[in-house]
Parts: sequence; C-alpha cells; structure tokens
Amino acid sequence: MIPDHELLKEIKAGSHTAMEVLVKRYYKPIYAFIYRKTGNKENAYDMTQDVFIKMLKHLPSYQERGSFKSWLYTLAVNHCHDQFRSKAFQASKMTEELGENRVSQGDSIPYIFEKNEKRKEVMGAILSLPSYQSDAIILKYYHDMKIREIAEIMDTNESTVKSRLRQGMEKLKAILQRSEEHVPSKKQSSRK
Amino acid sequence: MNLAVEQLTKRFGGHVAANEITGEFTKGVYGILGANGSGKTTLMRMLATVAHPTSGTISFNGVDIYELGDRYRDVIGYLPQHIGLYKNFTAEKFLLYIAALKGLDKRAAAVKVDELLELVGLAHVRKKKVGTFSGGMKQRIGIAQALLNDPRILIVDEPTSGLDPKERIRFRNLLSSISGERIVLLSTHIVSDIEFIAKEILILKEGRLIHKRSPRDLLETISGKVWLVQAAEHDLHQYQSHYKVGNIVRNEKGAELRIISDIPPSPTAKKAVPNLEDLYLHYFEEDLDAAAAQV
Amino acid sequence: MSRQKNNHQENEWIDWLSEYSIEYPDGEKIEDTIFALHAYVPERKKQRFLKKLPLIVQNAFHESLNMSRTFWAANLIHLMAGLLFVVYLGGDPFLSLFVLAPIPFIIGLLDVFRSRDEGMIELELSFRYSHSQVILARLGIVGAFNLACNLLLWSVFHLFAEPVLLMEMLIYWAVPYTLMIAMCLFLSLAFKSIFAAPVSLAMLFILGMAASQFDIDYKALPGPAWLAVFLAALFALYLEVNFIKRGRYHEFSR
Repeated sequence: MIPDHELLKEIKAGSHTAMEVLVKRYYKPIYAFIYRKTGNKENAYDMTQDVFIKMLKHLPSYQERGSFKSWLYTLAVNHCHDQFRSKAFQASKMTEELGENRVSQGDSIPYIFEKNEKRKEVMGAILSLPSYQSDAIILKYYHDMKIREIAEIMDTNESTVKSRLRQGMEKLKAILQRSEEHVPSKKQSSRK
Repeated sequence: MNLAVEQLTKRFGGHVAANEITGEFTKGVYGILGANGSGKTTLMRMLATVAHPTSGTISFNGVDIYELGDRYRDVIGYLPQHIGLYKNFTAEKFLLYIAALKGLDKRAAAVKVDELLELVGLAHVRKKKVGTFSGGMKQRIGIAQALLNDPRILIVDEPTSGLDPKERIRFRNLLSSISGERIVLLSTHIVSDIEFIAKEILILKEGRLIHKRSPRDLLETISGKVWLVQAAEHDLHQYQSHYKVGNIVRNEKGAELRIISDIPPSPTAKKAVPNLEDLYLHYFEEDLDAAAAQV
Repeated sequence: MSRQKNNHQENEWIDWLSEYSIEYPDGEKIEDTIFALHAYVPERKKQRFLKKLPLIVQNAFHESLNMSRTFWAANLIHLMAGLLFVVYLGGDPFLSLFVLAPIPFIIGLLDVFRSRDEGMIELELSFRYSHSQVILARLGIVGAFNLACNLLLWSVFHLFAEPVLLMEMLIYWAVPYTLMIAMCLFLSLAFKSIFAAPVSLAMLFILGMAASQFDIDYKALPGPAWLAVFLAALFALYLEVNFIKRGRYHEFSR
C-alpha cells in the first residue's frame, strides 16, 4: 500500500490517479462519521464531498504535522460543526424528521419494525448529545480510535476527551436504561 | 501530536552519553533536569537531528524522524546551548537569513521576523549588530530564530545559563507565553526555571532517564525524606559531611538546616514539605554547588 | 460476579450502539463525487526537475547575497591586479595568473565554512535545508565566480597581450590552480578556514616564486606528467566534494 504522504506528494504535483486512490481509501470512514453525525443519507453524501473538496483546496498549504488521517477527520468534524450551525441545515433537519423512509427490505415485517425502532432510538440518542460529546463517542466506538488520536483530531488534550467520553456515555446509558424499562410498551406500539 | 523516543542510545567511543532512553511527549512543557554530562545535550541534539543515535528510534506521530527528514525539520525549532551568532549581522538580517535557511518564502519571513522581534522585545534594536548584544538579548534572538517556522516541537538547551536573575525571569515568562500548542523540551539545571511551567520533569543521570513524571508525583518520591534540623554552630560541619544539606538559615542558636535523608538526622528533626530544590539535591548533590553558584 | 455483570453491561451497550448502521451511497454516487473532485486537484507542475533546479539556483543566489565583502573585494582585486600587471606593466601573464588565480577561491572558503567556524553549525544542522547542500551551494558560487574571472583574464591576455597556448594554460594555470584549491579545501575540511586560508596563500606565493626562479626547468616537465597532476587534483576535488556531501566536515558527523 502506498503511504498517505506519498499520495499527497503526488496529488500536490498534480496526479489525478493518486487523488482517486486516496479518496477511495478514506471515503467510507469519513462518510460513516458524517452519517452518524447527521443521521441523513443525502446530507452525509453532500457533506462528505465537501470535506474532500476542502482537503484538496487546503492541500497546497498543508504541512504534515500529524497524520493525514487525523487531519482529514478534523476537517470532517469542523465541517459538521459549521453545517449544524447553518440555518439551511436546521431547516432541512426539521423536514427530515417528519419523513419516514428508513425501512430496508428483506426482513420479516415485525422484526424490521423492532430493528428500525432500536436504530432510530440510538440515532436519536447520539444526535441528542452536544456535538463535542458525540464526536468523541463516534470516533471511539465506531471508528475504534485511541484517546490520543481523538484528542489530535478534536485539537484538545486527552483528559478533555476522556471527560467528554464519560459524560456522553453517561447520557447514552441513561437513555439505554430508560428504553429497556419501556421495552414492552414500545414493542406493542411498534406492532400496532 | 506525539513525539516518542525508544531505547535511544548514543555512544562516543566507549562513553555512553545517552543510555536506552524511552519516553513519550505530547503538547506541553517538559523540563529536563540533569547535571553537566548527564546526557541532556546529547538527547536534545538527537531530537533536533543534529546528532544521530547509535541505536534506538525517535518518531513523530508514529513515523521515524529520519524517514521524515526535512518534513520533520520543518516542524522543529532548536536553540542549542551554544549558539554562535554571525556577529556582524543585524538582528533583523540575522533572522531573515535564518528564515531563508529554514525555507520560509521572502514575504512570510519578513512578516514573521517583525512579529518575533516584537515578541522577544528586540524590535527597537533590530538594526543593531548582534555582536553588541547582552547575553539575555542573544538568548532572546536565539528563541526568536527557533520560532521562525512556528514549530510544533521546540527544543531549547540550557537557555537560561549565563543569564542574570532578571533576564532569567523575563525569559521564563517569554517561554510560558509561547508554549501553547507545542511540545516544548527545555533542559536546565536550574529548578526554578521549570517549577511552575513544566507538565512533566525528566531526570537524567549519567545518560539514563531516572524519572519522567509530573512535578507533584516527583515530589511524592521524596516525601518524608526532607527534614528541618536546628543545629548548633559547631555541629554544622558534622551534618554537612554526613547528610545532603540544602538550605542553611543562620539564626541566633546556630542554624536551621534543610536535610534530605531516609532516616531522621536527629531526634529533634522536623519533617518538611519537599520542594523541587530538595529533589534536585536528592538526585544531584554533587552538582549543587555549581548550581548554587549560578542562581 | 460484578465483573461478569460489567462485561455483560458493556456488551449490551456495544450491541445497542451497533444498531446504528450506515446506509452507504451507491458505488455510482461515490464515483460522482470522485469525478467532481478532479476539478480540485492542483495543476500539474510543468516538469519536476525544472522546478527543483531554480530552487538550488535560488538558494545559491541567496547565499551569494550573504557572501562577505571580503570575498567580493578579493575578486575585484584579482581582476584589477591581473589587468594592471599584464596590460599596463607588461608583466608575464602566465606567472601573474599562476599566483593570482586561486586567491579569491582561498578567501572565499572563509565564507563557505563560516557557519561551521563561527559555531552556527549546530543550529544550522537542525534546519530544513541540509547543511552540506548549503556548503556546496556556497562552494559552487565561489568556484564558478572565480572560474569566470579567470577566463575573463585569459581572454583579455589572449587578445591584448600575447596568444595563449593550451599547454601554457595547463601548466601555468590549470595545474597550479586546481592543486591549490584542492589543497586549501582539504585544509578547510580538516581545520578551520581561518587557518587554511593563510597557510594556502603562503604556499601559493612560495610556489609562484619557485616557478619564476626555475622557469626553464618548470617548463621542461613532459606534458603527460602535467596532465596526470591535473587529473589527480581534479580527483582530489571530487573526493572532497563527496566528503562534504556526506557531512564529514564537522564535529557532529559521527
């Protein structure tokens, strides 16, 4: 595998193939991160593209200080942050919540509903966290990152990351517990 | 951001200047304490790529610094213990020259030089030759050149030696104001230089890294070993030849001695709260005279 | 017991989190993104080695601005003295060039090794540009400028004094010149230039005097011998440049 910094050098020198290799390498993880931050397929798709555009635009002045991966995630974290604050996004989020379009095909109907309910519950829980807590949780549990890497990405120190993780997890676990207590009633409601 | 050294060793012939040093550095100030010949300078030279390790590795964000080459040198700023300035360059020209060697483009360099001359308080003497500068001014221009490339890693070797107390305080303040988002490695044999700004202190002795801990944890290692003893004048010598004696405060009954010892040096000895000076005495008793002479 | 319970809870928690699966876009849509990104790839630099070349030249040019006045003065004196001596005083152009030619180079070495000799090298080794490259750039300037001045003098002599033969150029200029600079460079590598320069100058004058005293014997040496000495001096210079490349001219190289 060609290391990132080699690819970056090639891209800086104008290589389109190197760009394709690099983007394919990171497309899915970056998309996954943004998707979990937004919970919306269309937004995640557009924002992922934006992040890679930003990466290429900043490449000429990019000084390799940390790993490229961390830098790319930093761009993603910041881009999500900027988007959430924008009015357009707030508006689109409102309409999104009204729609119901998450049923995938192939499973038996009752199971889907239960699965879908659970999924929405986790999504809702994560979306309900303050941005800096959900960033840390997503990077840790879905991207298997070390505290040190998260600190680098979020440009803070390790103890801050730890406390964000702790606070975030406490909130999530509280939601999890609440949902377990309500499991029977939820099942009923979903089967109706 | 992570700078890691592993099993770092440097031999000069039969002499081992640095012996299997292992440790990790992240954002913050690290104070490296050690006597002359403890391996401080050798360690810093290796971190600055000036000297090559005999064995062991140094890596920045997981990549060997020799593999990174000029990309690593791009992110470091180094102030060697003995910086030879081009004496007939003016402060400004000197910094511009260094900026060019560091690969800054002309416009960026001019802006940065202005900013740094201001920061280190030398803007008013920018057109003066550095040969005419005092020791403190030379160190300040030294730190300015180290900062030209806005380094992520700042390595300063004994920056306060040879400075008078006032200059030293000024330098300390300057250093804490620029430490921000960097890894700062600062070697010294003057404890007060790093007492309040170091995140961790490294203690080097005969090329080995004995401790790398926060100041508080380090003090913990000698807690219960610091004593205050009231001694009569004629007992002073006795104490000094048997114990590690730090501060001596004369009073009407003789003197109060500060002693580092595992056991109480006298039945009337009182325990004292350890400070970093005690720590230094504990590890570097033989060099204390030299250090005291400089304070 | 409690650890088991903890583990159990932890697993449950991970299970719960993993419910949040991803809906990835189709491969086609990913390709669309990549297509869009092509517009943002930096423009290809014309030819890479052409880009690198000006950097070295730039570097050399920048270094030349920092050459001391002594160096430029030495070159000027070299030119003036050469012209004066031959054109106005009718002196022997060969002997004058014998002695004058290497002087600016010898003086220039003071500038080349200045950073090492003034204790700046420890700092400069930590900089982006490799120090030996800087030394070589300076050496290049000193050498090139000196060579240019010499050729200028030769052409003036050739046109205004007397026609110059290739053989004479070899024995009165090429051989002593390369020999002297090879020796002075060697001394500079081994010691400080501030020592190497005067020693070299002294030797140069002694040799010059000797050559003028025993001019007939000097000229009588066979051509191949001259050529051999010339090539040997060039080879020595080559070795010295290699030495510099490997950084073997300062205390930190081990």
